Amino acid sequence: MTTFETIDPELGPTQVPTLAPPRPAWRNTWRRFRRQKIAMLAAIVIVVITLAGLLAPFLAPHGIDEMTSEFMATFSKQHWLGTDNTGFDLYSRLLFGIRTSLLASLVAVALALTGGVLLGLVSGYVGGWVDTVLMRCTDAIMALPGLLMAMAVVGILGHGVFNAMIGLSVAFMPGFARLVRGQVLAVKEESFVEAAKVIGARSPRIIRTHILPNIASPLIVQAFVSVGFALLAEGALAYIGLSVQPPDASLGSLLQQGFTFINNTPRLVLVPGIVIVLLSLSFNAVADGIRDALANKERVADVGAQA
Amino acid sequence: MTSILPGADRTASSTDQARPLLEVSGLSIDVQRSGSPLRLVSDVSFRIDAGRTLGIVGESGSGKSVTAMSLMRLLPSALRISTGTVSFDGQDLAHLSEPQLRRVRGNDIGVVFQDPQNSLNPAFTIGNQMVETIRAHTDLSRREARDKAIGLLDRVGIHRAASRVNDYPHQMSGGMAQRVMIAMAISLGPKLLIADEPTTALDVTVQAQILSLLRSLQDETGMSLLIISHDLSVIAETADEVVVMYGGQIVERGEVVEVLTAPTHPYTEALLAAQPESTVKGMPLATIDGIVPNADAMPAGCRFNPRCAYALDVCRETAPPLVEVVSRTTTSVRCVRHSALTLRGVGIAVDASSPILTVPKDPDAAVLLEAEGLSRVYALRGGRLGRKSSFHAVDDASFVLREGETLGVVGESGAGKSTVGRMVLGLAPTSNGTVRFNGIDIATQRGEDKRATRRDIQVVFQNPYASLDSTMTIGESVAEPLEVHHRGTKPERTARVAELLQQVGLDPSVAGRRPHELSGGQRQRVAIARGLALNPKLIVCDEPVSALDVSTQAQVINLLRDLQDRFGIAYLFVGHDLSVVYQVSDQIAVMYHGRIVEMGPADQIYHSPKHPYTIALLGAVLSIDPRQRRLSSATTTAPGEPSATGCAYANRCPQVMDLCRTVVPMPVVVPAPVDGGEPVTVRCHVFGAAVDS
Amino acid sequence: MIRVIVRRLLATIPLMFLITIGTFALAQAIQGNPAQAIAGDNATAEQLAQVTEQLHLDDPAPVRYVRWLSDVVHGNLGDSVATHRSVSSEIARRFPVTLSLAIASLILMFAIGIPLGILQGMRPGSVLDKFLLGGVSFGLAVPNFLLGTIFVYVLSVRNHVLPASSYVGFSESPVEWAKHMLMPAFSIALVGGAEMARQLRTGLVGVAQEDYIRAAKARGLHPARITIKHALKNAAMPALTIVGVRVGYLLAGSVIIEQIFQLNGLGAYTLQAIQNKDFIVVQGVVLALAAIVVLTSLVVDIAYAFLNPKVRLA
Repeated sequence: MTTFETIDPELGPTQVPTLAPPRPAWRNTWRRFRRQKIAMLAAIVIVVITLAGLLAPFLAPHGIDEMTSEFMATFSKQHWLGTDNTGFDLYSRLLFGIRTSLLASLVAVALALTGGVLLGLVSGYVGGWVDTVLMRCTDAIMALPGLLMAMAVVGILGHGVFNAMIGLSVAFMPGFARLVRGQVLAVKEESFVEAAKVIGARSPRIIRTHILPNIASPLIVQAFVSVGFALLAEGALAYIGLSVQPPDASLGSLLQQGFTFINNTPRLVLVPGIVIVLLSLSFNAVADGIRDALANKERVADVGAQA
Repeated sequence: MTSILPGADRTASSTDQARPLLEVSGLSIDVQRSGSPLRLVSDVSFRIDAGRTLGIVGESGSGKSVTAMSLMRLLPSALRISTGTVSFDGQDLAHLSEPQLRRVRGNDIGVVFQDPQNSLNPAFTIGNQMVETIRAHTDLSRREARDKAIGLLDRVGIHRAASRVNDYPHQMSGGMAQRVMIAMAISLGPKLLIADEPTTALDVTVQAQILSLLRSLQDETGMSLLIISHDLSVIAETADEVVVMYGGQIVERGEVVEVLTAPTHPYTEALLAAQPESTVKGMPLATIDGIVPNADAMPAGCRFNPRCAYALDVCRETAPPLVEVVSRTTTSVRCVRHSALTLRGVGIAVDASSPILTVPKDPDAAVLLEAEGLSRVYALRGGRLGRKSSFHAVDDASFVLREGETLGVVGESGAGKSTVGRMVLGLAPTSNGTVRFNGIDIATQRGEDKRATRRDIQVVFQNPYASLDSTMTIGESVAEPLEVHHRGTKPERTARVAELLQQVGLDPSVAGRRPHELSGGQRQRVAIARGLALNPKLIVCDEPVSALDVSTQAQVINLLRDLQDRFGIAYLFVGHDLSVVYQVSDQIAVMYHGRIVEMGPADQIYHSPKHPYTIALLGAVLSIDPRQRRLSSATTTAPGEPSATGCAYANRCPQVMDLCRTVVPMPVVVPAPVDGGEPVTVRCHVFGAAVDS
Repeated sequence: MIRVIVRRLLATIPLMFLITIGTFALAQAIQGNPAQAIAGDNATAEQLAQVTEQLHLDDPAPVRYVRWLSDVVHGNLGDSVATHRSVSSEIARRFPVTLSLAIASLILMFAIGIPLGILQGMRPGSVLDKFLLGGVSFGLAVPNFLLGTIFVYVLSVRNHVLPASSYVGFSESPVEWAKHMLMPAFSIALVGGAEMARQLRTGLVGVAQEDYIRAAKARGLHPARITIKHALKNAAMPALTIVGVRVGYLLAGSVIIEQIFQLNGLGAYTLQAIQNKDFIVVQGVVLALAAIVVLTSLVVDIAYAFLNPKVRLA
């Protein structure tokens, strides 16, 4: 057990003061986020649509591959959004489609984020030839546009929503890796990281306690932006038949199926179209809101700095 | 006499000095925000007569820069002039239309900003920007404007102006860029030049050159000058009248000698006393308790009352008006007690019988840190065909630091002083030479030994905003060294954090706060507490007070000295301000361009410098006494670049010999003079020759 | 400047090399059994052996890679598994269509992005800015395939304003070319234009805080001059760097858009190949697309170096 040698004689034995519990920084950010009307509205839209998707098995009046006796029926009490050419209930399929699209996008971004953070951390923190090699590789991957990369991966692994997810995560990973690397390079030079080195902290600790928390904000923003893009990209893959296979549905596959009947029944395209745009719009708006809320914090800090 | 300066023909008429050129009255500035606007500057009034210089001085947050920028309505969009007039040459600038104002900007009033390199557009040549400005206000052709620009650059002391006019801003040093800014600001012969912290970003010798240049231009053209500075010595050196601002108000205003030699406001007195120059070495610096208030939390009554040594109840209740001082000719003051107080001005040192003296140093203390032939070399890719060259950030630096002592390392930007500190800390690799700590070469240490040495050498960085992780609380930051070295249990660490915070004069409750909730001085105290946590033997202080206001700076210096006396910690104190370094140091090493040019006892260096560079450096240090101005307007050309061969100072040295340009001088011990003192080490051929003969 | 260009050019070589390795590996992974793919599903063991023998398919992968690379360097990308047609000549035949689409999209992207970005950046926070910001957000959120679909429905099927499909060469009839390109190009360009507007706005808002803008104001320069000359050049530089990335997105977008508008370009070719698991075509077309992206970003980087005095004079 260590005892502390330097008890200040003038102050006498130090009584153990009860330190106020640290105020979580995110609470201030949340307060500033809440004040932004558009971002809040977007967050509510996301929550509502996500809940609808999650609860699809309970909310949907019909099963995803349950044929009804009505074909191409328009809006009615039985079929809120009508039915399609096979007699499927569009409202039910929409709920399941939301579920699939959101799940695929979120998982794809989560995978890409994890991989990107690992790669970017190693590249930025270790530096040297490791950095050069890793960055050349991400350059090479990025030379193939994201969607094409995703298509190629799906081509290798076979069609299907799970493989689309993997494909999207491969496509998004280099972007995250670059972002993380850039942030790590900047934070690594900060005085507080040098100060941590001076006290003898080893790299794992420096990464865990200083670097990761300080690069988190731009990553969170980027993650939200990416979910928006992933939704569109999964839609695109489904649209060309590389993602979900019938009778399963995602927003993109619903659009593709509706495309054939656009002349007479634009509803089949418009309904999933509106949902996908709304979701993507909302994820971008939330990302903007978070960015502003975080930037605002820095401004406040600057004002404080003048005192 | 012909002059290229358009205003020069005005010199004759500037003899009637009482003509007011600029008269500001009742100026208030608000910041727009949700809810009610917040007042940043209240009821500011002053005037500048033709050909005169007015200085505005204040700490950060005093409103001085906002006031200056508002005169030409250059405020950020959130700030607005809410009341008052700015009458200039018969026009009210506060209420002119934008097109009318454009004719005044640059034409009748020129502005020079704090950060010259960022004030020039990086995408265009300086010539392009000067021509553009001249042509915006005259009918000159492009060719004529360019010739005029070259003439102006030549006038502000830029060598080979005809070719440098094609340079981009990033190709110029800070001092050069400021000369360009000045050339641009005076290009249309303005009647008034506003200089907002014109030398704050510059080195002290460059500051002296720029201020000399401004004075010589003023002599030539008869323009008026408005200088804004946080640095009293700049104001004392240049101003005829001074305005002292605090908390968005003028607290004292008057003729500069009158105000600074016999202030009538307690803040002015405190500001003067807090300057290192006002204190006999070894005595604690006078401080101003507390911190500058924020605009949204101004104290009731007199805004200075919580920090004032003379405050009475009345000061806390009623806001004092700015009134003329009956016994003075020019001074106005915002203090209800001014007639009852006798305040100390410049030139009177703090009471010498003050009881607190620093503990005398033990001359036989053991050597703690020893650097020998320390070098840091960067390979530069450059030149034609990618030929490699090298750059010595630090070249052959040797020094000794004894236990409990302070070695001050002083130099201008690029001198390599911070690199020396970083090499001692192990943050920068050494290209050559050794650092011995307690007699052991730290480069040879591994594992636990290395960690033990790391524990004994701690750091306090310059910028307290960057050296604390904003994602951690203060308590977590201070506890981090203890955690890393597994000292104590969690409750013990918490107790130790509280103890450390108390030792640096902070309330232990700040442990739960986050860095941005604290002021700069408080943050620097936290950084010191963190440095103390492992009971180090040495703390490297890398410009620890440079980012702080003068009153806060004095508090931190006193704290560092107090801790040294109590715990026997040695400091390697890196700084650019010679008067600050002198106050804290036992020994001083003066660096120029990577080499230690002179090293010895602090008093010796400060009072009888040997090396021509040290002499120049000391000569450039300005006094806060306006009766002791040091600068002339004579020398205004930019000095030469550091020499690549031989002595780096050769191109600037008044005593230069042929030998200096070719052979690098080696350190020479100059023996103590017969009338006392100690020997110093000098790297200069002037002394080398003396020893040889 | 020359050194900057040379260094940038040299860096492209290992990058292209890495890309060929990646492409080759990708193609190998798509088709686990190339002989089977080439000979067809009903091939006999003899036929399989013959194909393997002919194409040296039993050589180790590095040997086949080197052989393929040397073919690539000589401009031979192999023959399609499905159609047995030369991939190089197929790419050459289809390239003008995709190039047309890409150029038309780039033009539209600039035409959308630059004015909107400047309008927003000049007065951030104004009603106009907020209105345009809404438009930009919308542009970023609408998927190109939905946009294309709606265009076809509204402008072709319902109103017959613009042709819904097929390609007319620019040299044949520029007007017809433009008519045929407008909808597909706009469908692809909207996202890029919105992104560019956003970037430019952010850049202008950031530059407006710079000291040199205040200093220019203090010299009495006209606000329009300050925005057009002083702010735009500095704000445009970061916006320029994303053009290289954008070209990649345009190409990716063309895959779907060519499908919707029935254009026989590289995108449609890629999609077919992936759907058919035609690994030789995938290999060739992926390499071609990657080379286009790398070349574009090379050009962009050099242009950037030329515009930025700090790099140019380095």
